[in-house]
This record gives sequence, C-alpha cells and structure tokens, in this order.
Amino acid sequence: MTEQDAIIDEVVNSEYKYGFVTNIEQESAPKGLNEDIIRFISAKKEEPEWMLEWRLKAYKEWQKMTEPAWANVHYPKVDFQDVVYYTAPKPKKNLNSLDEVDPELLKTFEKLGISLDEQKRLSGVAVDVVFDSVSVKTTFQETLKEKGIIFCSMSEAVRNHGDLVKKYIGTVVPQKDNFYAALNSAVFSDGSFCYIPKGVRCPMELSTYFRINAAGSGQFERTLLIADEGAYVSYLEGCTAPQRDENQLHAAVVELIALDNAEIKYSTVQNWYPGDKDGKGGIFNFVTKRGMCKGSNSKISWTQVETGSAVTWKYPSCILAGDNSIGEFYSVALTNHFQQADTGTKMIHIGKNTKSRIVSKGISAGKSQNSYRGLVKVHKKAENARNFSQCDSLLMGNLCGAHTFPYIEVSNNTSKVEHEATTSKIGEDMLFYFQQRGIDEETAVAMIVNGFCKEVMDHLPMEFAVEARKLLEISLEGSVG
Amino acid sequence: MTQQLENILPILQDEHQKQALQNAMNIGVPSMKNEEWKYTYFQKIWQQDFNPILSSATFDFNDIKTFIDNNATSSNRLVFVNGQFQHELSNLQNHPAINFWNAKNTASTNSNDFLLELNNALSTDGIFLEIGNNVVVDDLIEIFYLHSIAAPFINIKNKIKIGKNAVVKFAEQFINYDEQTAYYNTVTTLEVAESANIEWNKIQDGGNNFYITDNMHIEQATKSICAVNTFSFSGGITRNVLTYDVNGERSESHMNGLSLLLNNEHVDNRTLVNHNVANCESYELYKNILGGTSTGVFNGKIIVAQAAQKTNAFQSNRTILVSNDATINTKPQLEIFADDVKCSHGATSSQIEDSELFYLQARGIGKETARGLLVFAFGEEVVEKINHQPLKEKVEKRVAEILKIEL
Repeated sequence: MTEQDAIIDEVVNSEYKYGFVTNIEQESAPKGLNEDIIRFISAKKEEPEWMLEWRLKAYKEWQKMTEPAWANVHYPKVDFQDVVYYTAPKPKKNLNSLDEVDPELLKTFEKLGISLDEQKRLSGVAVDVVFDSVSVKTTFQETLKEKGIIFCSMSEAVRNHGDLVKKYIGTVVPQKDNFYAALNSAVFSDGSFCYIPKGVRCPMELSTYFRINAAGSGQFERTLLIADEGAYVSYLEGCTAPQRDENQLHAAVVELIALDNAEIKYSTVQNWYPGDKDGKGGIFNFVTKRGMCKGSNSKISWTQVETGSAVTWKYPSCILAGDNSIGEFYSVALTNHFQQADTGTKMIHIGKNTKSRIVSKGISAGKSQNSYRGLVKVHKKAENARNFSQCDSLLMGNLCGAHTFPYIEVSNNTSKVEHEATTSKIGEDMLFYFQQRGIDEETAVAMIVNGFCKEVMDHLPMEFAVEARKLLEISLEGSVG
Repeated sequence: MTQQLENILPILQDEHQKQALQNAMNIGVPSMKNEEWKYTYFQKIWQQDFNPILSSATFDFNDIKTFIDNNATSSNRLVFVNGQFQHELSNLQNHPAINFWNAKNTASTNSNDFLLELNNALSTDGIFLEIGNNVVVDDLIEIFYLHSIAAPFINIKNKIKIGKNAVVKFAEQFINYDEQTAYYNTVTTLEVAESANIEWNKIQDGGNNFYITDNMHIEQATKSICAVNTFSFSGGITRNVLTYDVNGERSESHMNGLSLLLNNEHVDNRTLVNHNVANCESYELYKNILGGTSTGVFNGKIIVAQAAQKTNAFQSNRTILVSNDATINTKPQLEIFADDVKCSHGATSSQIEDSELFYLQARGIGKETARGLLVFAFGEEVVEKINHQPLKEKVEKRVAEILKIEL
C-alpha cells in the first residue's frame, strides 16, 4: 500500500472533526414546513441573507408544484407537513463493546470485510483513541490546503466561501427543477462542498461524511462540486455498510460543474435500509443528481451501485454543453424483496463532438420492480455527437419485474446514437456449467451476477469495488433456489 | 373542431353515438402533456377546418374507378368513398367462404381514448368481414379509402374475423385521389383464430395535406401468425397505434414499419404487444429515413405478463437522418414481469457511413446515386417483408421514386 493509500485509509476510518457535528446545538424544529421553519434553519446555520432568500424562493416554487407521479414506483403518499425539517443529530447511544451490537449487523460487516475499528464506529461503539490519529488527518487536510482545494461541509462553505457557492449553486439543478429539488433547495440541512482550483489534480479520493461522519447530515443533503479548468477529482459517496437511518424520506441534490478540460468522477454506493422481507419500512430515496460539462473537453463520469432503499428515484445526468465534452454513466441497481427502483440517466448533448456512454445493469429478485429510465437528447447544434447505451436486466425469480423506458431524441444528422437492451434470466446451462465443476448454486449465481456487473464495477475506485462485489452477494442471499 | 362536435351532438340519432361523443368531449383533445402524445402535436389537425362526414355524398364514379384500376395491385378490393362502402366498386361480397356486410355502428366501448370514442361516435361505415375456417385467399385483399369532397373528416371502423387455418393478405391504401386535404380516423379490430396466417399492409401515401390517425387492435389465438407492415411515405401527421393481444400459445407476431419522409411530414408509430400467455414470439423492425424537416416518432412497448414464460420478444428501431432539420424521437419500452424470457430492443440513429459511400464511389457511382442506393438498401429490408409480389414491386418503385434513383 502506498503512503497515499495509507493516508486515505486512515482518514476514511477515522472520525470527522471539521465541525459537522460538534458545532450544532441539540435542538429540533417543530414538525411541518413553512417560511418560519426555513428562516429557523437558515438562522441556525448562520447563513447570509442571500442564502435565506434563495431558500425562500425555492419554497415558493415548491408550493406551486405537485409530487411527480410518472415514475414506475408505488408508495404511500408522504405527508410533507409531518416531517421534521431540522434536527440536530441525536447523540448516539455509545455501546461499550461489539458484543452489544445486533449480531445480524455484525455478520454483514464481516461478510463485507469491514475492519474491526470501522465496524465499531459504524455501529456506534466508542472508538479507541489511538485509532483516531490526529496527525494523519492533519496531513490529509494540509495536502488539500496546499493545493488550494476547498473541501468542507455545505454550511461552512456558505459562510466562508459565499461567493463561490453563490456563483454556482442552483446553476445545474435550479430551485424549481422538480418537486424534490425544490424541497431540498428550501430546507437542505447540509452536505459537502468541494472546489478544485485551476490545473489541480486532487491527489486523493474524496469521500463524504458517510464514512467520515457517522452522524450523517440528515435527509436533505446538498452537494456542490466544482472542478475548475484542468482540474481532476474523484469523489466517493455512500457506504457499503448498511445504514440504519431514522428518516424515511431522503431528497438529496448533487450538482457537479466541470469547466474547460476538467474531469469529475463521482462514485456512489447506496445501501440504505430497504425495508424488511415483507416490504415494511425502508427509505424513500428521491435524489436529483446532475452534472454540467460546462467547459470544452470536460468529462463527468457517474458510477453507482444501488442496493438499498425501499423506493429509489434517481437519475444522475450529464449536460454536455462544452464542445468535445464526455459524459459517462455506469450503474448497477439491485432490488430484492419489495424494493422498487426507477433509475437511469439523462445525457443532453449540446456541444459539438460530445460523447456519452451509458451502461446500466439492473438485477431484480424477490418481488421487486426495477426500472431503467433514460434520456439521450441530441440537440440540433451537437455536430458529431456520439452516444452508446446499453441496459441489461437480469431477472431472478418469477415474481419480480424489469422495465426499461429509454427516450431517444435526435435532431442532428451527423450524430450517432446506439441503444440496446436485453432482459433475461440466469440460464440453466450457465448454472449447470458451474455445478458440474463443483461450484454450488448460490456461489455460481453470485459469480454470474458479478460477471454481469463487472463492466460497472471496474469503474469504481478500488476500495469500493471489493466491498461492492460482496455487497451484491449479500443482497442476493436467499433469493436463489 | 371542438365547436363542430358540439353542433353535431344534438343531431346524432343513435344513443350509443351520442354517448361516445359525450365521452370524447369529456376526455378532451389530447395535448402534448399527455405521455402518449408527448411528441405529436394533435392540435395541428384539430385546429384545421375538417368537415365531419355523416352521410353519403355524390362523386364521379368513372373517375374513381379509373383511379382505382390504375393503383390496384390485385383483383380483390374493398372501396370506401367519402366514408361510405361502395358495393359497385368492390368485389368480395360474393366470395363463398367470406361473410360480408357493412357494419352499422353499434359498438359502445368505454375507452379512455379520445380518438376511439370519436370514431365510435362518428364512424359512418366499415367492413365486417368474417373469413371462414381453412379459407385461403390467394390474392391480396386491397382496401381503398378515397374521398371526393373538400376537407373531409372521415371515421371508419372495421372489424375482421379470421377463421381457423385461414391464410389471408390485406393491404390498406391510404392514397389521395385529388391531392386535397383530408383527415381519416380509422379503427380496425382483427381477431385471428387458431393457426391462421395473416399479413396486413398499410400504405400511407396521401400527400402532405393528408392526416391519419389509425388504431389497429389484433387478438391472436394459438399458433397463429400475424404480421403488420406499415409504410408511410407522405402525410401531414400520421399516427399509427398498433396493439397486439397475444392470447394463444405458440403464436408469432410481426410488426414492420418503414417511414420514408423527405419533406415536412410527421409520423408517429406506436406499438404495444401484450404477451399474455407463454411460449410466444414477437418481432419488431421499424426503420425511419428522415429528411427535410420531417419528424419520426417511435414508441414500442412490450409487456410480458407474469404468466408469459418463455417469451421471446425482439424489437429494433433504426433511423437514418438525411437532413439536419429532421428529428427522431424514439422510446423502445420493455415491461417484463416473467423471468424466463428473452427480450431485447435496439435503437440506433445515424447517417450513411462514409466508408460505404466511398466503396460505391470507388466503383464509379456518383455520390448522390451512391447515397440513394445505400438509403434504398436500408429501407429494402422492410419492403421485403411484403409477401405479395405486385404490391412489393409497387412499393419498391415508390421508394426508388422518392429517393430519385433508378432501379
């Protein structure tokens, strides 16, 4: 392991001390949503006036909107007045040793290969002080500072880097973009902000607080990531370990902006509580993620592994505005039991010679429903635009469903668009081949599924890829036979 | 035209018709906000002044007869003029194994579809054809829709039943006798019994003031084969809704389409295949060649029900854009609830490859001719699906004519 990896490893395994948690008072807002609540949130975060106004504008737009019903998912209606929009993180019950942790959870950790220390942290066991090495983290912080990289929480950014936030927030996902984005814009609690200055290549993978900060930043997170000219950053979000979250509704917004020659790689592993085997409970995950290739020769790449949440509604998209810009989307969406996922991407080609690539792998098992919904749009001016899309679905069991809704809109005759989709199940012959060689059915299925997803997994950063593979195996346990 | 409908409502005699018109008005004119109409601006038809035709009108018999003789590719023909079936011009009435009568409008469906209800309310005529068991009709049955009055709005409803083991080929000719503007709203239901083999061709070439909204619903029984080939060569707005209900095992459904549009046409092809039972196959091939400022829309939906194990469903939609003002909007859609299936779809949009052009140019063929030949070859794959030699040749000729190449 190189020194760099060692640093990353240490940091991702340690507590986050930049002030996400400690500065916030233990106080909650009353239930419901109105202007006063937004003022309250804004005041709590000591935000400048323009931010409050921005939130209020979003709230006004939100009031005019109705919940979208077009997605291929069904869930009980959310009462938006029954939600607490601001809660300071509750102090976690500190356990004394791993023996007190739910053995089911420990089993999962073990299978994922999560280190003992991290296991403790994730399950809320008091972490050894020695493990929380301050010096390593300082090194990490200094490295970033030296390069001029800003990486902090959203609230901090609003306070300390107001000009940057003001310039870019809402430029990719405007307040009135959609129902959930408007809601998020009005009440977002926190999130991450990242700015990579001109010509800087971020020397390490940036992970969000999910791994750093166990308390999380609540249900309405907002992430803004800007890569200035010639910059490069790889950003990780999420965690393979199961997250037990009390908030049922999650409406996050992620905005990426890549200027000339910049590249952003954004990877997500989402494993939130999917509900139990009978489909009770589970998280509603309604996320708006969008990247703007603003400059020429810029590149944005989304990679996601979605295995959690009861209902997922998520379309990480790329607007390819700059000439020669590239958008990529690699996705594995696995649904089991009663999970429902409606996910996909949008590739909007505006600039000349823009390229996009979509690889989506859907796996449905149990009684779940898995949909791919995508849009490839080639504007009239997008000379020589090129798109390749592939969406494959794998069905396991005869009670699940796999659906594809690809929209293709082409208005330029020098462009080339290709789309292909297949749906099938694991063939008896494939299983037979494995079994003949002494590999039992469950392992065989796991291997086939991993092979099916390999193309996407290869795009995940190393440390995620290993865990994500195991995660797929665990998520499918018991669905064969 | 909404105002016209309101005027018609009190005149309608039949209670069913009244109800249907009321339903249509309650549903309202489709807008682009409706997912089904996302890419087609129906108002473009609706805002024009078409006259709903409710009774028969006079026309020049000999003129029309000559026109049909010149355009027909077979001896079997069914002719409608101004929305009325013409016995003198048609010749299938006396076939021993074919039960035939014009259907008076009695159906009262309660659909949510504006155009279906409108058709229920206003359809003047249609054919009710019952083809007996084991009947093989050698020659093509051609259906002509013509009109002689200005700007008519014509509703026709056909109902066709095919007996067991029957083999029949049809061709619907939407052609224009006098290049005048017209709007046809046609509804056809086709019931295909066991082991029957049906081919249905639609030729839509009525000039650019010709508007069509066609709705075809097919029910297939065990081991039957049914193919629908749609050819759209001109038309202001053409919208074809094709629905298959596959209700018998081991049946095959084929859908093919070629839209060759070089001006400002708009063609919207929508197919829906409901695989309700196991062991069936469906094949779809839709191709578009789009030039000028034309727009092609394709929406292919395949629904595989949970019971429909071992379904094989394949769908392909390929487009060549020959001008930079043409647009293609496509949405191949799979909804699959059964696990033991093989389903795939593919959609492409591109232009003629430079390397292909070069190959022909290197052999002394001029660039424009080479391009024409390549585009022709692209379309030919669909034309070849026609299983009736004279019709196939006629369509080929028309494609060549549009592409300005010599065969």
